[in-house]
Amino acid sequence: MRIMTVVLTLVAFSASAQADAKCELAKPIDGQRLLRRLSLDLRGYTPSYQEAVDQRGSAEVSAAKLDSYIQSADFVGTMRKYHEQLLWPNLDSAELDPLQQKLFRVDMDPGMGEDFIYFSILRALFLRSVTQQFPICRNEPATFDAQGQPVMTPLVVNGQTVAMQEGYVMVEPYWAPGTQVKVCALDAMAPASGTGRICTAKARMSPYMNQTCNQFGVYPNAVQPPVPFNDAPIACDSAFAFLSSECGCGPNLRLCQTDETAARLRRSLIDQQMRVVEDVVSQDLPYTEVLTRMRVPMNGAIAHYLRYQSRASFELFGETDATNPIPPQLSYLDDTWVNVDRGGRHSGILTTPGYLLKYMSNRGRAHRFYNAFECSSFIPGGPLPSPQEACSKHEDLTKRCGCDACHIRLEPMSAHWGRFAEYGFTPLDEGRYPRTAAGVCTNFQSIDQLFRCFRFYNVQPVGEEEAYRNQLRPYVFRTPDEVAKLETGPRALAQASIDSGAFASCTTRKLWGYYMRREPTPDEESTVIPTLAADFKSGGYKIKDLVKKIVTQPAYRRMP
Amino acid sequence: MKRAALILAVALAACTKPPEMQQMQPPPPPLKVIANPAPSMPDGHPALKDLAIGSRGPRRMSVDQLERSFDQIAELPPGTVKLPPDLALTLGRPDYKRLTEEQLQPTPLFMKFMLDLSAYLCPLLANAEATRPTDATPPQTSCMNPTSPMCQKFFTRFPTVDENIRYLVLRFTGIEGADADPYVTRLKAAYETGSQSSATLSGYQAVCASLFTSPEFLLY
Repeated sequence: MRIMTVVLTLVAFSASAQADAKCELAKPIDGQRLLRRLSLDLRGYTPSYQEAVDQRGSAEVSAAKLDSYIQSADFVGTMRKYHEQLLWPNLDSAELDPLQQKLFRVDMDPGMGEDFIYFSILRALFLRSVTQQFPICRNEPATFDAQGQPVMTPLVVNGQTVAMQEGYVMVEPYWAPGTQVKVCALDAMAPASGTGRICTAKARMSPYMNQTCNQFGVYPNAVQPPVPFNDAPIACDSAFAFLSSECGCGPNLRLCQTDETAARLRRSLIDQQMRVVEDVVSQDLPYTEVLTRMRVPMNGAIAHYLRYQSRASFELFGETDATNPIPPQLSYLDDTWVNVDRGGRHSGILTTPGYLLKYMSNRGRAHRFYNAFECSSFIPGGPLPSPQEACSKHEDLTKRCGCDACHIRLEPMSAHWGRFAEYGFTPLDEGRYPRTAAGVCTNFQSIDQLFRCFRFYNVQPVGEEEAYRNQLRPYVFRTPDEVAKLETGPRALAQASIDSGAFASCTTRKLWGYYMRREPTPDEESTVIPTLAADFKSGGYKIKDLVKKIVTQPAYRRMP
Repeated sequence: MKRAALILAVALAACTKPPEMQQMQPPPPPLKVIANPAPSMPDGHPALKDLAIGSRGPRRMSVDQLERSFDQIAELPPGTVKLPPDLALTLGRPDYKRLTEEQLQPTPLFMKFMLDLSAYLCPLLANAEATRPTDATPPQTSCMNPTSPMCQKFFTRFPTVDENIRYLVLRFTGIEGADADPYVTRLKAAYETGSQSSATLSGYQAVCASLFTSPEFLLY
């Protein structure tokens, strides 16, 4: 307490020291404080004592010292932070661990020790519940019938059967090889074929499953001929597998996630995106490669997710991406990063799952690019007109008054992501997703095909969309020029920005702001920034050179 | 207890005030702005409209920089000081969900945190001082050996208090030589006031806390 009192009396000590000072705005800071400023900006921490001792008596920071800072691994770390501010990486909202594949851990012996059972809430409701919601399995070893199905026994409360329960099985989970965990037998199911049958008569004995099967069963009957549904086979790693009592988490629970595995996956996907930046900076590659690079690193968590889990969500579309190969040697716990050379329409960070899942709509993807790499924003020209006016009724936003001001620019940009799934990350290649619905929305063989048809094709057009009936949704309202952009992909957008100079100019302005802690003045905007941007472009987009030129500007070392 | 009773008595007196007394009070006079809205400039400062010199803007250290700088200043292994994620968010680290820009204003909340952190870290450093070697390693050597986290003396590296304060000012702020003189004078006073406590190296703890909360450390 006494120390705190002393502190309180002293907080103002330096303020009073400043009040005595003359205006020193134009005065360059001395060498010692310049070293501190450079160290904090370029490495992220203050100089060591040895560095401070070496700096004594020198008004300048040596070129060698500056180079050592810029060449350090810490500089790469600060560049990562800088790019986090550009790209806002956060995947909390992405449904990477949908409920149908989520395992929860329940302590069966709270307070007494550790006796955990993993179970799925969704299967608890659909496969065990009669009247009791989310019943877990019995805490005893499961038994199986002749068909390999767990034997269910009634849970009776007050003379009423409230649930049907099976026991548990011991499983070696993929996230902890060499250990065994208890898992409810229905959740641990692993059919050898990898497929199960949906909405079987046995599964429909559960009232909740029966109700859900009836709800989903409406859709297959809405088309002619009806899509096979009851007893139809379904891949256990697909979104509809929850309608099958025969599908579970698969061998080693590889199809399912826990809170911990989902958190690691989110971190890995963000890390992957940032490692693209780190590779470009650390290897002193042209900074344009951040946007155009085909090579990305991949670790075990991402490989496992793409291999087994990405297809299980209804919301997040994560079909297998043939243009993004998964290194076969990567197992879940492998935390080494292996470089993968992507193909197709991939382009730098702009098509990493981290970027596509942070910005789930094509407009959002274009908007972030526009802001981060072209230093521009979409600002409405004014208030929206009345919705009753004729011009407010256009479905095409480039024609709808009030919206058109931004969307005339935004729609052509967003077209570049048209061949990537919105609310997902899968490229929509022409073979599986042709421009018109003919090959997808006819002759339905599975509910999965029906789902893909309605998700990606304009089969129920509204108003002006009629002219684009049965087109792949990204093609709706597209001009021929926009179709060309759509079919080239985000690389064309990045290249256009690079070629126009917008990318170099924006990068220079952003980095100037980052290191100067202020916007360029009008004078600097017309003199220093264009010169730096031109040098950046002609010098091969070397980010380290640009940073060095900014921090050696006279303005950088002036007070405060 | 006496104080509580006094507060209670005052509160009761306020509650039992006759209502007519309250009605007789005149309305408060309208507020007048008497301060000069133009900021007062330091002596010798050019007129703002004539200011055409571009300088680098001031910046508060970020949470990441604070964490790593604490390690560097106290010569601790990198990663020793790690703020809890929730606290880092409160202090301005963006989560890119609710907050997309790092908040780098030296807000009262931030200064309160720095005060609390200094009251936590400075005693730890003071108590660890005795375990740090003195002459075993040359003073210039940075100590980054994870198996020996506390290496050089931090508060008492040099023989005199003045030298140690100068060392601390340099480590925290990068200020040295004649520029450091005014700070050393004030911090010496803080040292002497703090020394009245019986806590370990209490004078240096006061200096440490003062530097932790100083703009010269936090802004750069």
